[in-house]
Amino acid sequence: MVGRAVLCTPIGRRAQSDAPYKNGESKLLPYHGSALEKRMQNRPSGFGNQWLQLGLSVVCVFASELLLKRGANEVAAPDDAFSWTGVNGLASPLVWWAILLVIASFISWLYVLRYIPLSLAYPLSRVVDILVPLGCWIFLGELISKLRWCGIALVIIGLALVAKPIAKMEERL
Amino acid sequence: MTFLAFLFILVSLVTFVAAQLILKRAMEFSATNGMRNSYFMSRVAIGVVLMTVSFFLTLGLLQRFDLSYLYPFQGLSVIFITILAAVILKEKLSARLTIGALLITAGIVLVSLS
Repeated sequence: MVGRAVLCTPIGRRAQSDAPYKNGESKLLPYHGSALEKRMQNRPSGFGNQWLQLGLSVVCVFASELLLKRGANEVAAPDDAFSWTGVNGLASPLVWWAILLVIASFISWLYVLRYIPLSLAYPLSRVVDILVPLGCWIFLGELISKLRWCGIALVIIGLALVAKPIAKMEERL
Repeated sequence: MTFLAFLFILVSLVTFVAAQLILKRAMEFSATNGMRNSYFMSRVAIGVVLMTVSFFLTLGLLQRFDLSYLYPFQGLSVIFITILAAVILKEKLSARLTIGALLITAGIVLVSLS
């Protein structure tokens, strides 16, 4: 899939990429001319799109976190020293489902790492820190305190700061 | 929190951060050199082992503490990974990205405090 996408990339697209911008304007844009931008021009489309894969990875992590907590509760044995290793968690089917989701998210994540810098991809992947409390609120009927809403707002602002230059670059490409 | 719990949280965090850096380097390498080579395979194997260690330690911790209690430490991973990616992997780190990562970390800590 990756190879096909590279072959399909129009030749000379790099030279045309400044076209919609006034003279010099594109130089001011974040990631302009960077290795990231060059790699993004060869990015696969459809299911192979790295942002879609990042989203998939996040959704799998979100579901696995909830399943892990439930599974851990099921088999909790705080008095047993061996349980510090977490291996006794394997007795719970929920933990096995969570492991499947973790593997799926891991494969997506490896794919993401191939295209997106770690310092960008990892902060973006923490959108799961908004999804988990919201998931608890929506699906489990847990209450969210004012302080927690403030925390969620901070994460959203942080994510917006990280993601905005990327959105601009995507628009350009 | 006991010393043992602190130690397990620390080891879980360090192994997770190290795994991310190693996996990123492996995937960068595979982009130019392909996946059928011992460098790529060994780095992915080390990354998977480190992530597995981190996973099971977290599972052990989840049996003793609430998820919300353990979350601030996951939050710390954002800032650690962002800084180490810049230092070790030589990734470009803008002021905007740093502030964004700090806000995400602060947000995660707040979410788990409440």
